Amino acid sequence: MPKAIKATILVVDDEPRIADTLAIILRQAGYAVHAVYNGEDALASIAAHPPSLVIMDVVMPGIDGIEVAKLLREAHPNLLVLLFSGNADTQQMLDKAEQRGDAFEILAKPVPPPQMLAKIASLLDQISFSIANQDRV
Amino acid sequence: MAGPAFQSYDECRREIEALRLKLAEAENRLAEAQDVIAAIQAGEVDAVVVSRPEGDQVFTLQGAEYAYRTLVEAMNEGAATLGVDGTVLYCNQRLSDVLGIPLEQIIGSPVANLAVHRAKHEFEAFLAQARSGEPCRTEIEFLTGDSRQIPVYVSLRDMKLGEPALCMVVTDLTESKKREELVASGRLATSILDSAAEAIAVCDEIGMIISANEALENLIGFNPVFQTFESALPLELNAESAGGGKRFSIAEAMRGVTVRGQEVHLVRKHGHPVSLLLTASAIKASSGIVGCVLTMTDITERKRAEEALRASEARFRSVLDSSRDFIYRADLQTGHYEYVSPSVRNVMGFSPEELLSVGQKVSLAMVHPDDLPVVQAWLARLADTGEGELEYRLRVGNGEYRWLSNHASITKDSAGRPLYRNGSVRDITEKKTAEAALLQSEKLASVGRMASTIAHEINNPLETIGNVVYLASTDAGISPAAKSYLDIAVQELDRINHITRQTLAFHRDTSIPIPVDLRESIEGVVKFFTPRLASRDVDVTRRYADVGRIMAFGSEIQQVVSNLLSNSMDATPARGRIEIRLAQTCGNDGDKIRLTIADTGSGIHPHQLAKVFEPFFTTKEMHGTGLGLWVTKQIVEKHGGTIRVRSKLGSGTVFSIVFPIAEVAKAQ
Repeated sequence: MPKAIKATILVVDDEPRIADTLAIILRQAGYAVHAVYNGEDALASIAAHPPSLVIMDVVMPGIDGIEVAKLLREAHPNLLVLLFSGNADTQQMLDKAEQRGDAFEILAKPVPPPQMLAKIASLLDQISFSIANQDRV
Repeated sequence: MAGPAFQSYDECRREIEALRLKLAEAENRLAEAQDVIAAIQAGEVDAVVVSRPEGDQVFTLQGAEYAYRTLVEAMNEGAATLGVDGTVLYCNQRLSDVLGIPLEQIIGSPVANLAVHRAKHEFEAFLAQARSGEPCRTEIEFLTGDSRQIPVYVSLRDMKLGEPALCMVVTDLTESKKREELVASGRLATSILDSAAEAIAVCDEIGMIISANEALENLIGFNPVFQTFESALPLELNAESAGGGKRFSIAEAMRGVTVRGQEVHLVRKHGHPVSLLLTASAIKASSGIVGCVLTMTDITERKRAEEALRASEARFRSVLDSSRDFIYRADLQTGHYEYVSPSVRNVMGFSPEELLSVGQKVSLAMVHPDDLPVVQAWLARLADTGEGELEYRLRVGNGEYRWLSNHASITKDSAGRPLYRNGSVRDITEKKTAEAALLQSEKLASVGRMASTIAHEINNPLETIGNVVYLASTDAGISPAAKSYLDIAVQELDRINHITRQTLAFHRDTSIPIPVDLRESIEGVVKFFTPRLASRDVDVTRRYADVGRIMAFGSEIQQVVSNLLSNSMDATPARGRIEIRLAQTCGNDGDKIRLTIADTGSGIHPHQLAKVFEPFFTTKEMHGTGLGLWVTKQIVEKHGGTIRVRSKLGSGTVFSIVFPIAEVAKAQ
């Protein structure tokens, strides 16, 4: 069943199977999805085509998810970033980031697809709500 | 020595002057007498005129000889004249009496025959010496007519009468010898008394001291002879003995009652009182009691030493008594305890008396069976090493096992034989528990580290599987059967997700509790286990009362049921029975749901029952992780519930869980 494209999402995970399957699920749900497999490609992709939402793994070779998220927060303050991770060290990385003033929301892998879809929907609702408010103001 | 008492120096000088004059007069008279004797002997004198106050008296030689003869017969010594060959020419009656031999037998016999046989030669030598003109005196033994040997003093001298002849004077020493012996024995007794360390007093029948030794004089500082005993030695009976504080009286001893080892104090005006050990006994003669002998030993020093020892012992004992550890001394020969400090009550829950009465055998029997061989080996080794420390478990008074640390050393005799084991025992249960907890937390930490290293590897594939199962199940082209299989896969994936998250606990749970129907959770698990249950012919009966729902993480509740059912299945033999019940209960703090899972399995040993909820405790050897029931308990408690277990070895085990019924759940 064809659906109207709701929003553009960038999926970043160093495991292509995760990035690709999640991208398929999100496309089936009606989003425009692009998948990349590392932090550098993510930054390049966002610079070229800024998405509405970035779903990003934390522990990756090269520049990690939290670093990318921080850079994005400076360059694209309105861009939503949802982190997800399966690694125990993630919590410590987040705590450190939080101590420096950068708080991020994170989901624990594995995230069941229905839960992921619900989360994305609510996040995007927030943006459209705040954009709508901004428009009104 | 007592001398005349002079009132003044002048009196003394006058006395000396008088004595000097008397001496000069006596010397003059002696000189005159010697002149006369010399004249008589020289034959120059026929008669001597002696001037006396009652008129002059004329002594002729004839008259003199008569006088001498009378004198010789009257004298108390035996006397005899001897011819040149030693034949007795004349002897007086006294000599005959002393020897008990008739005069006529003595006269005309050789004088040497009078001497005892062994002294004959010696006596003849004396005779020869006397004949040569040298007077000689000697003590010798003569033989009497009735064959007695009597000591005599013999004096021999040449009579110088022109022809060789000897005069002999014999003094019987029998009596004086006896006296000497008496004196000697008296001296001996005195010296014995004086050398005695004890003070000794001899009293007569009226209680007057008639003899006292040096020790007694030293004790009281004066010679008490001729004083009454009670005035010279005021003695007070020891306060600890019967009649303490009263004065001692010798009346009892005088009545014949012997006082033995009575402790008394000598009351002195100056200085410290002296403690004495008194013995008194009567002197009995044929006429009855004639006095008593009192012996006193000065025990002041000994008492002081004893007191000091008592004080130091009391000090040590108070240290021992106040010790937190309990201290003991065990006799290795008898196997009994000689001393056990009071703190044994705190450590072992027994009184010192209880432990003293039972001995080491019984205390060894209280050692934990697993530790007993180690304890026995340690005790055996102590004899060689002399000292050592061991930690072991002991069943104390209330039946609990406590961890004790026993630090002991061996006392040996001079031959190296072990006599005593002295030791102090400390309750180290808390330390051990803390150590065990530390060990456990270290175990947990290492598991955590392990989990963290593999988490990424597990969670990422799970993410992929979750995604592809979702894609497959949402594929429009699949059959309804495949769809139902994939739904099961989704459910099981959910369970895996929760198990890993709960067990490894390394992520914050982002989901929230929802109302859960326990019947659905139970049925889901039973359905999952059905193939295994059927293969072992184990019947699972379910009895559900109409209970409400609880606020919970559904997958966790499934994990609880799964863990308990899995354990029951492992414990239950073929054709066994498992029952799962749900019931509503009312408590003080609101309505609750009781979930019970009971089996007819092998049961859990009472020793192990308390530990089943501890992490890493397992009875399944290689197959168990030791985490199942621990996780179960964590989950139950996280839901505000409680879990209990009761079991009977060989009969089965019952786990019961009580969950609160949440208000939110009730409302729905």
